[in-house]
Amino acid sequence: MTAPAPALSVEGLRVAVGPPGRGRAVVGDVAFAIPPGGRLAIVGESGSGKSMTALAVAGLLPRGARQTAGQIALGGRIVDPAGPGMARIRGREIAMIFQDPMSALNPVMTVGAQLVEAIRAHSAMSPRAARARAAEMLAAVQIPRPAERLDAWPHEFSGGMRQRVMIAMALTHRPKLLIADEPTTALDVTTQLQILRLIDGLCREEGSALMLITHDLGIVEGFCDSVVVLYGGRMMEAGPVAAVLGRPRHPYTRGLMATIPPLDRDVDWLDPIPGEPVATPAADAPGCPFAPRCGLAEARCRTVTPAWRPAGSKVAASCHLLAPSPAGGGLS
Amino acid sequence: MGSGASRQERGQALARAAARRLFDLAVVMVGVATVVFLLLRAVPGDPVLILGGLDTLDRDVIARARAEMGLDRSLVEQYLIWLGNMVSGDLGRSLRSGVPVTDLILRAMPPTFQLGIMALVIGMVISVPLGVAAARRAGSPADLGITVFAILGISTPPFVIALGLVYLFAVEFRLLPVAGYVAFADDPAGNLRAMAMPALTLGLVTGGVLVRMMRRSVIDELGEDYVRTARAKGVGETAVVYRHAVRNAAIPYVTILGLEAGVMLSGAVITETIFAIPGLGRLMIDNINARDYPVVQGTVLVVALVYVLINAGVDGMYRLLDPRVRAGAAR
Amino acid sequence: MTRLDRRLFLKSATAGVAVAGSGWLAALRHPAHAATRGGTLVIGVPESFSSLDPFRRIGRLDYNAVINLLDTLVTYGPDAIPAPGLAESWERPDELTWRFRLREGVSFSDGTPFDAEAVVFCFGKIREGNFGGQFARITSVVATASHALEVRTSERFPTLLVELAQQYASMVSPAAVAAAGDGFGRMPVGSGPFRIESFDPGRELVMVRNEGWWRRDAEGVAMPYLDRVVWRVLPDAETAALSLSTGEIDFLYALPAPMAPMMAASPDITVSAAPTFGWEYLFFHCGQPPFDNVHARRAVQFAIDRQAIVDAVSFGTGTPASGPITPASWAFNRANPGGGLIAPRANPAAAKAELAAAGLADGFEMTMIHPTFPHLTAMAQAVQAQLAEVGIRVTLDGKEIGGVLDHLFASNFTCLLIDWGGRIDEALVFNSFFRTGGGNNFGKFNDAEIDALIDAAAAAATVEERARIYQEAELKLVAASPLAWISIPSELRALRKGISGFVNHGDYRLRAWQISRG
Repeated sequence: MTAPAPALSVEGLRVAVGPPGRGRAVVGDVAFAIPPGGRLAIVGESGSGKSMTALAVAGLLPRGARQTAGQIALGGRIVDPAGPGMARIRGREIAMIFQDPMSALNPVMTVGAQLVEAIRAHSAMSPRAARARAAEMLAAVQIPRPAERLDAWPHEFSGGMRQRVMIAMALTHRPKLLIADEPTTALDVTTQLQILRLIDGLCREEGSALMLITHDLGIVEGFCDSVVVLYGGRMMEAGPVAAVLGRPRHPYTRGLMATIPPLDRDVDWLDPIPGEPVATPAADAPGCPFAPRCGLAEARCRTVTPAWRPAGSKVAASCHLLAPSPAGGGLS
Repeated sequence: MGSGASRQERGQALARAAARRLFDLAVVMVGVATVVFLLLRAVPGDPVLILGGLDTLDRDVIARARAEMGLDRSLVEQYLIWLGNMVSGDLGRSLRSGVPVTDLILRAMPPTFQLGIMALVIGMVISVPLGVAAARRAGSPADLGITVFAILGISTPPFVIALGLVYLFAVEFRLLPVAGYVAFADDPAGNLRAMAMPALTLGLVTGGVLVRMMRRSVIDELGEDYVRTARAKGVGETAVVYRHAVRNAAIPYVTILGLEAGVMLSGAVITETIFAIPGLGRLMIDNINARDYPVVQGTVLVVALVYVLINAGVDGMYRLLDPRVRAGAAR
Repeated sequence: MTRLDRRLFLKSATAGVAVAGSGWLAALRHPAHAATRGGTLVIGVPESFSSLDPFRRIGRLDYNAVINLLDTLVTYGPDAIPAPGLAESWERPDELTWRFRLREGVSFSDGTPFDAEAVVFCFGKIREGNFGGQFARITSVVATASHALEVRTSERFPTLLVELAQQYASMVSPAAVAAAGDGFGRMPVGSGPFRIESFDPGRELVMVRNEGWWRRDAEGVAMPYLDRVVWRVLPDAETAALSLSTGEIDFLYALPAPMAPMMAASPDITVSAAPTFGWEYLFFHCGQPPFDNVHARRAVQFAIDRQAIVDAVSFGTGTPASGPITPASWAFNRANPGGGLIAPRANPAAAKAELAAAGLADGFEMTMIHPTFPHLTAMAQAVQAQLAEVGIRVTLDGKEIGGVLDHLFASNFTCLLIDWGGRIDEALVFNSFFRTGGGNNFGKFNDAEIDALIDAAAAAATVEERARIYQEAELKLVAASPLAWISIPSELRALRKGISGFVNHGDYRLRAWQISRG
């Protein structure tokens, strides 16, 4: 029996910034898959490469950044995100929502025009029909008096409303995959939850898989079923949310857990992660990128890149301390 | 919101804004008038003497001419008389020819405005595609080529460009007349032939500035989040660039366009001289040299008025291009 | 002054030598041609017209248009001697009375007949105009018959004929004046060789032939020959020259001296040069040191190397001055110009002797004002360098022309370099520059002997007598040196081959009625 092809699969993804040949790797050997309708969280601090991973998948890497290796497949079909065919895929099969709704909408086009543009980018709908559809979309993201609001300008909307507009645009074509890059970071706390619920509900309705980029483990726990933890552009740990967050294997995941308030467990061994994430080495440098800040780091951690190895049921991690060492005994 | 009351409020706000603008305009014009009046008289050289030079034979002639020109009155008197006449729309008469200054200016305006508009259109036709092309390929050899072209346009003195064009089109290929002007109403084809090189001269200079501006703005805009959003929607790259980036880049571009339209009025002095176009620039220098005070004063006032109008035009363009400005103005 | 200036000067000096050697100067003097009738002549002129109202103070270019539109009672014949115009003849029954016989059968181009009444009207306009002061001695102008006129003066007015030949004494149609009012300067109507077809002062003046003009050429053929004359304003010298080379224009009204050699080299173009009546010269303030001493003035006079300046600064197009009377004048002493006191070359020994005589054996310092026109600036620098040779240390003070004239008319200078266009009659020159209190006597020169000679010349009956007296005055003037005459500029014109009949008189007047095509 063959399982249905994943909505997204990523293999050996590498991203570098800077001039070709002299660039610096910011994402190295990232691999994961999201089944149809699945919800994957990618977590990490800023600089962990999580946004770059998302942008690479969508083919929206900023000027100066490029994918240097890896294979990306959508619904089992391999795509070239940087290639010319990607424009036909973006907005239809992959959609994306960004962090800052204040700047994500074109200030000199009406909200309606931007929605209509999204609709007509992938359908031959007449402008009039597209406008009607745009109003429906605004209604679906719970914007009151949607038909009237089509003629409003972005600056007339609050941040939360703009993010709703972004969601409406993203889900117009029922994409197989929605990438949400920190969609609520810029919003106030009360709005955050509404927006997340909206994304969650609509994805369920449309059957879209969700790839949620966040640094907030609370959100991961509440909305996702699996998680990838990135540090310094490399995968530290990945697996089902319950397994990874319930029993984090990697020292970095543990440190990250400390950034959310302890819930029900005795976590006295968890210290805030010391050091600055800025000092991360390049994603293709030898050794574990987290080693400089890791309280448990050994000599080999700085020189030998740890292998990606299973660490329990469906969970895998990349840490020397998880392997049987000459000194004997794993971390668990 | 959207009710009659708010519309009324908005109308009142607009009326207030217009009134403020008119007041500003009046202040600017009186200020310019005063400065020009004083500056002209601070420059050494007496109109009577300059006109006659040493052909002026006797002091009677000089005194008579001075009295006729009103130059025997005190400065304050001359100023007040002129200001009073100006308020009633009378700019006085040329000291040399006795022709009303208004006539001279009205006659000189069409060629200058035509030249300015043609040059701006040429500048825009050059700068939008080149600027955008350079921005899209920033750092490429094509970008470098366009940038070099733009810098050449900016840094080459207009008279060099003008003479280059003359040698090429008028002397070498005999396609266009070297110099001269015909009114459009008299001979449309002849007019366009006469204006082609002067407009191209100014257009290349302005185009250089505008290319740089467009390139920079489009590069900036292409890095903006909303461009990424548009790409994320699957909008084609050309539409992303023109519908999104260029439309936003148009806002700073229009600012420079307005400045360039002003610069055009000074660039016209050289171009009009080289190509023998009887426009405002020529009127101004001819009469500065002759110290024909009323003509210079009148011309400067009109030019100042045009500057103010260009500024108002730029503001209007902002309102057209940027809904945020519309919102701010009505508030 | 600076090294840069010196270098510039030297550069132009070498260019000048090259030109002088090539001998391209060819004045078109005697055109002996059978004139072809018809065609259009396009003249490129360097500045806008201001007004064509002859009674106003208008520019030299404006007068060039006027001379082709309006007649005067008196004209200049060959050798610049008053000749009949609209006045066929005249007599002077007594010292204070002039009687003029007017040409009959002449109409203004609007059809108004030309008669004594019209002349009386024009005298009224002339005397109301800016130059009315020139005719202040006239007490009455009376029409004694339909074509006869009597003019009475309050005192002797020997220069009346000369004044009547000036453009500010043009004859215009009284009806047209009444009809045009203020606009007369745009559309003057007279009886001249051409009439205006269209006029846009900053762009173009188009004249067409006045078919009924009274004047005939030597063969009795009606003039003018051309159908139309177009005066096109081309303010930029470079483009004007190019327009001539492409044939867009036929005639370059003013050819800048530096362009002359290049133009002359073109096979399609003829360059015409003739000495003018004007000077490039120095004013001395004769009322204050050092130039209140005649020896100081003479020292400068002798220290100037006129030939070097003509070659270097004027590209060989001028003539070294020998005194106030220019070669174009009927009073010029061809046998011994200026009495031979001023040579084309400098005489440093004489200059030093004069300095010693002035008690300034070690030289002196002075400031020289000059206009910042390029060629006068170059000339000032050349003079500065030449005076330095004899120990006169000159500080140059270049000013925009307006500022120079302010200083000049206020007699506020020690030494001032300037040029002027000259006058066709020596009376106007001598009275103005050298007579005590004369209009252009800004250096406050006074010499009773010379005043007496000037008055005697004005009163003399014949041209020969006047010439003799002016030459005598010239000798004394050169000795007294109220001015240092440097050079006589040339009137430089360029025209395309195939244009004939143009005569360069050096009086800055373009008589288009003499010109024909072919």
